[in-house]
Amino acid sequence: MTFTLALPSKGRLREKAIELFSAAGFKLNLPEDDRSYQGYLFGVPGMDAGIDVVFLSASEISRELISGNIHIGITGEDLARESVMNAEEYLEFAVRLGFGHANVVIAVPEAWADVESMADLDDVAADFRNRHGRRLRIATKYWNLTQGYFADHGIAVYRIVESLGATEAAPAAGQADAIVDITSTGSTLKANGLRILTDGVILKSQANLIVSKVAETDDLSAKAALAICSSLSKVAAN
Amino acid sequence: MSLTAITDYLASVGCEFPEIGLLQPADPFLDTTGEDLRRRIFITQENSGTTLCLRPEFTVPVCIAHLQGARGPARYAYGGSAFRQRRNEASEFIQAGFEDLGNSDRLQADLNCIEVALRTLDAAGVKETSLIVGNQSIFMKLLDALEIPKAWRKKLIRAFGDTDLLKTHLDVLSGQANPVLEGLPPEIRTALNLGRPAVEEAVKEKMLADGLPLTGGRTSEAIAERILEKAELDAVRLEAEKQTILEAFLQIDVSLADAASTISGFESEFGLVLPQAADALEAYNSTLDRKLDAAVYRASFGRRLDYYTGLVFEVYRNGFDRPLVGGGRYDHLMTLLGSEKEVPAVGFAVWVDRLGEKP
Repeated sequence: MTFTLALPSKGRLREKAIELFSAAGFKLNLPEDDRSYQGYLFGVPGMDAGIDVVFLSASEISRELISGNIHIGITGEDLARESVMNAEEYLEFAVRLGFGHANVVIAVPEAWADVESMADLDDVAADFRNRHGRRLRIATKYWNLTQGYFADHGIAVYRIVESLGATEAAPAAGQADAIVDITSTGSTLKANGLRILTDGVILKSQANLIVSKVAETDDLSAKAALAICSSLSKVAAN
Repeated sequence: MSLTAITDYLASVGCEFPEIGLLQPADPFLDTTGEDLRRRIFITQENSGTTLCLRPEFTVPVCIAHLQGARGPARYAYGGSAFRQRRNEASEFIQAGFEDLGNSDRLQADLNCIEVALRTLDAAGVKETSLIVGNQSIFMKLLDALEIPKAWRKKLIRAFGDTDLLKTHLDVLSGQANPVLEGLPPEIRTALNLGRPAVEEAVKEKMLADGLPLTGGRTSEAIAERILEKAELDAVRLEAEKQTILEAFLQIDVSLADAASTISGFESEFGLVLPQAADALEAYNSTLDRKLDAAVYRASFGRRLDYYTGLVFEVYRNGFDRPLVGGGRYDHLMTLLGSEKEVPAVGFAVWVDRLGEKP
């Protein structure tokens, strides 16, 4: 059987992932040219012929791990948890890698001085239809994370408006009332007149080494996954 | 076959059967029940972009059909497949039910609804059942009698049906008062001392500064009103005595035959008046002309959907934890679906697949 590792195909996530594997003492043969997305990893015990490495977009890596087409990969925890409900049933979040930090947060307009917490938002959502003739609208690309977090806080009556870019502009554009989005420093939110609720951090995300729990596996591949996890955990920043 | 027996019976009491398609627009369900429903239904998209779903239930489409017909009072029934993503039960299941729409004699319609539900089970040959009844409006009358501030009242009514959550709210309200004022921006705190127009003005300035539209979403008036509401509650807390009374009420769980006298006793014990509450319970009880294994009134029993307003009931078969029938009054649903005026509505649904379950 083939054992496949997936790494992010572009940007800082890719660079950091490659650095990490070489710091851990593995030899990574990168794709020969820019149009190829196939590489090999050497130095994994019991896998002398090298293991297959595919370079995919971070969200594709989440989906492929969940469907079991790849065994192990690096992607953001936010994308992994967004891709499926009950992520733990499919994925083992094996090593937090210490880069790619970003929080998924719920933010409301600064002018909503009365809304500081999820409990306040619950009150506002409950009354919204009465006052404004429609449900409260949340702009986000994080459907699952939003639904899960709102349900945990007992908020049911709201609607999600899908937003695939510039989510932070949705309230000013009148497309939504509040947003759920990713932020690393909060400065973009601030620049758009938005404020994170006091208990509005849905997920503190970073890049993770993730093992698929549903990929077909044998003794050799299980050992390989374990070896990669333990090597990377020694060199990861936290 | 249970379903035929049920629909035959419902037709015999004069119900109309509106045509309800398998494929329904998803928005009315999501708008009424909330976004959370999305995870529990089967959604698909038309080429035009309209979101459709396999019908997750019949009440919403029946109500829409009623509104489109612009009709006076009418009684409807239905029976067929419904679809929901469920963990331990099949995703496709048979549901039948009854909706009584537009009847403004609410108590009479409630009694009739319970009666039809029980007779429906008779028609399907189901025996050894027990009935549980609750009524959110009795809880609301208690909140009125205790003069609970409006902002808390809304919160407590919303939590009704989830007793743990209700108790948590009561603890928060009676405990350390919420220091809401500290979290307010300084300019709004200053404005608070100057009165409502100043608060509205300060909020409006903030909205303009942030480039927020002043209409179409939350208005400066709505925000200012809630700031004032919070400020008013900042100093007050729920008195221990009122908390005790509310908790005592939520513990009431008695045979329906004793419910009226229990509520009367509760009223006199605490010196409160809950208008018509005992009478309604007495009427529920006297409508039961048949032998049920048990009939209880549980004061804390309710549904956490904002369109349910009064009576709720469920019928169980002994030895099973899932209800065979769930019903209640949902007077706020029609306005959520676009009706300009409130339409009284009460009904029930039967989980037909559960009727034949063996212990």
